[in-house]
Amino acid sequence: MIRILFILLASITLQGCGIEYDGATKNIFEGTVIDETGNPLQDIEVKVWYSNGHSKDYAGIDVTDTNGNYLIIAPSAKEEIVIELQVNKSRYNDPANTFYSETSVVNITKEVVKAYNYKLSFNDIQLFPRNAGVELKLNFDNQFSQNQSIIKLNVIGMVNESYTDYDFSYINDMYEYSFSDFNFQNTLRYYVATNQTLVVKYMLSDYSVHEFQLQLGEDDIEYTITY
Amino acid sequence: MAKNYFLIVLLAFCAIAMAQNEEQPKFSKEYFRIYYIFTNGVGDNVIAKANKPVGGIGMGVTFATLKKIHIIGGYEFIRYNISDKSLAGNADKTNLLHLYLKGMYKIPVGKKFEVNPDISLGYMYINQRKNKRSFGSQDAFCITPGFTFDFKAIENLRFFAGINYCLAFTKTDTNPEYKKFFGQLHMLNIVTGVKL
Repeated sequence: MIRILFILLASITLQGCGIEYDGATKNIFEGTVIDETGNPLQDIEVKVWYSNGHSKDYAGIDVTDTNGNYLIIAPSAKEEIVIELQVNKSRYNDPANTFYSETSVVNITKEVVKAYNYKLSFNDIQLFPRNAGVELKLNFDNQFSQNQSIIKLNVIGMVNESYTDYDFSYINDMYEYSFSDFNFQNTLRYYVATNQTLVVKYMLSDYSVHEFQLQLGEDDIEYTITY
Repeated sequence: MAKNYFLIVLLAFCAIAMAQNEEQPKFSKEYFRIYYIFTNGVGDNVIAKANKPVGGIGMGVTFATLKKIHIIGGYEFIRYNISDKSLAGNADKTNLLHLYLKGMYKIPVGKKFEVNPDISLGYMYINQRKNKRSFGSQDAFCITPGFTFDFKAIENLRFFAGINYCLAFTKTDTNPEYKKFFGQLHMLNIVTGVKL
């Protein structure tokens, strides 16, 4: 009897673990994936990923067409979630196109989607061959105030395994890419495409946003952010 | 010649008299129906463009009759498999539960056949599922005109086949560009089953 009760309780608990979807609300995500020369990339998998902090789900999936376009329509959620657009991202035994880089657009919530009338149109997402990149090393040097820290950082451009905010200035409590431990981490390394201009944005703990550009050539590059 | 005219008049009289004695085709009441649904999404909407039909079952009970009009309450369960996850979400199947109230008019055709035009109003619950998990649900209001064609096999047992067009209006919040795509679902259903 106790075993039956335990199984019932466990099944009820497990049922409550998943994301609760709102089938009456449809979120639309669309955009284009291009290569390093600006040509459309076909057959690149694009996924919309939801997380409520405990459970994670792929809510929608598409593969780019001959023009590099994708369109994903996914039900919204009844609870608070963070949404991530994953482009060519491999997970576990889920193979991606290993020739090209992968990237994600993050910091999207239900409120953001609603504010854009349930349709997010993304800028062109540019991927580059993984075998044709260099290393970018970012160092962090806190010289001015020990109370100040970097809470968010985006390296925008052709960067492998990058996370770029949909709206950098948007703050949400469920942000999962917090860099609040930058004070203890002196260096971050990125694998980036050659011959491009990267935009580096960072937000300090006083919510001030700072931005600069980095011109890349054929060689590895190192840069120190002083704050 | 007069004899011939007399014979023609007599035969005509007999024919009319016999015709008057012949029974008018009568409709018979039905009380219960159970049927299979060959469903198909049509038009430009998420059911038609992102789902493949599997099939469905239905049953109905006659609540009241008023001369040739039957009032029938019924329930249908229809399943589709999701074929385009970019449009319908990352679920596997779409289940439709349909509760309806149908008004049906019986038109007898001979002794063995009946044609029954009908119209039903109903509530539909649309649920997308994957591995026993819900990927969200929608409520809809449905209007379904159609007809069935009955064959009376024996007394109180009829086989029937029919067709109906189900138009479901769902409550949907989305971009205006896709409001109709998710908000108006069209299905052309062929039904076949038995009536008691």
